[in-house]
Amino acid sequence: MTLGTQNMLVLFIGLLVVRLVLTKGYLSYVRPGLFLPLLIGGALIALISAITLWTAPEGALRRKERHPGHGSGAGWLLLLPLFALMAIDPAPLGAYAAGFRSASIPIVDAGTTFPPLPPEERGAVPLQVNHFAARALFGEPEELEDVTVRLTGFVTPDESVSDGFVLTRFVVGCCAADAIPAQVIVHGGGPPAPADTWLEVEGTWRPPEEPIPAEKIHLARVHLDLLGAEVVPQPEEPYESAF
Amino acid sequence: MTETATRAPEPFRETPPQPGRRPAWRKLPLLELILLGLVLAATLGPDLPLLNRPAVQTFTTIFVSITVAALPFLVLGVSISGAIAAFVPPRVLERALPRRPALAVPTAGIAGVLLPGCECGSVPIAGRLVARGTLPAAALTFLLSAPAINPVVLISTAIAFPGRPEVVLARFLASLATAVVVGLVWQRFGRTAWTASARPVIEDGTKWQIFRATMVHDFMQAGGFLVVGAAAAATLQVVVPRNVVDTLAGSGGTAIATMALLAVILSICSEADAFVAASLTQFSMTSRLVLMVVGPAVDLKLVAMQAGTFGTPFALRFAPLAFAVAVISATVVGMVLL
Repeated sequence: MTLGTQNMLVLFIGLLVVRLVLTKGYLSYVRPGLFLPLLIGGALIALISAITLWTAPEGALRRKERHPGHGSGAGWLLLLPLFALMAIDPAPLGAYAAGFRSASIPIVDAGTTFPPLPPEERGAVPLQVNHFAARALFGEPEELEDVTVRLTGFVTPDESVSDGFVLTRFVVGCCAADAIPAQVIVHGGGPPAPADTWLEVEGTWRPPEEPIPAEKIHLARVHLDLLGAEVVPQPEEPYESAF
Repeated sequence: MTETATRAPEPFRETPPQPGRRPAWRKLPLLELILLGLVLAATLGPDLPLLNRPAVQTFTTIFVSITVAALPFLVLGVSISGAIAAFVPPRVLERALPRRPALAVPTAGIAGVLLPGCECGSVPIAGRLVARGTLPAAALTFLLSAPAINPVVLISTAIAFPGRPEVVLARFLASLATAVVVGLVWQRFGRTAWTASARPVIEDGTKWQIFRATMVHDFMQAGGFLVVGAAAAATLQVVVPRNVVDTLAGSGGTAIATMALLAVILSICSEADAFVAASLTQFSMTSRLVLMVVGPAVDLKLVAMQAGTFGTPFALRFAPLAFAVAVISATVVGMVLL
């Protein structure tokens, strides 16, 4: 690879990352907190290669790398994520991934203290799916009794649920590779919407019929009695963060 | 930048140069073809039925997410590696570490605290340190300790395990011990030839030219191999469903082996692995510590990047060594502290 090609490729990568950040596409891949690191990282690497392309002496850009052979072809592989980014619109993990991911809720350690419930908005308490599930399983579930909550997630097919559907939202620590699904079983309503439909559901917590043994807690799923559901567009931030 | 004719004999070259005999495909205008491909991909890609399949979509999301999340740390890492090559005279690096390897290796391990971020950034830095004449064992110790014991990782571990500072302490001690022991073993048995492929990119030119050239070179090299590792990790995440571990549980050797393998396969950023470890409550605390200690030392994307920076002979020896030491060290520390 010549120095010119190398720097062109890096410039392209940097600019594409900046575009991914500014168009909010990055939210389908990583946590929102990486906004600034990504913007600075992409802009910096683009700037460095642009300076080299701009200032390089005559002929230098057409020169090959000094040490060919050793790993010099690897840079071409950077084209793969570029192609992927160009060919496939950014999409967050959906129902397909929820089907094989481990755990139905990010476990909250025993030491966690939960803040008080947020105030009601438009007749219901808005909660993240994983926060609702964590409060019900690991907090003081009494606070959820007779409270109408509003959860936003996507429909996930599940044959074991006969009178409703499963609502999923992924929780991400750094990037989609570490995503854990938070799931709530929603009882009621007619036939469920197709998989991956984003819904805003309102309902009340349904206490478990029998206490959940500690060794099964990682498979426990929280139940919700449906009061109303509305189809909504995919949220700008498709992933949630844990407590 | 001198002409390539002045090149010294290089025993590690894989393909001998063949002046005047370029293969036919080499004559293609490669850059133009790539740009054409990118344009075609952007216009046609979203309509191709193959790319809309959920499995392909899931693979792509995980694959792209690993590379995107790594980018800021990679840029930070190659900025430092570029600065080492351009602005830090070898003499300064020499003085920064004690002369005796038995002291230099632990010092390099502690120095890992200084680099915030995850593992993708430390590979090019270690490669540049070796190229500048740092004792390979010390550079490799830094390579292992930096992503595991820096403040960002320790704080995220504390957040994932609230009210349990012993988990943070255990992680710190087990990871530091892993880095130092691997360094000392490498000092005793390692050969210089295994790390000899870490070399300067250019030796002449202004300092800023060296900085930029090294930075872009290391970015391409580490980034290219990161892509290989990310693709392997994303494939395994889709092909081997993670919920197979739901049915496994318990403690003892099986749990430790499961968590160690999971750490290698998942290739999670060291900033986020504590969060996944916290969710695997069906496994013993010691085995979850193994996940957090093995992950930053050995995973698919790291092995690929190490092979790219130091060569395959290196990676074939270093990865199994680091894996074994990390598992043992985490198990011992976990049994004592957790």
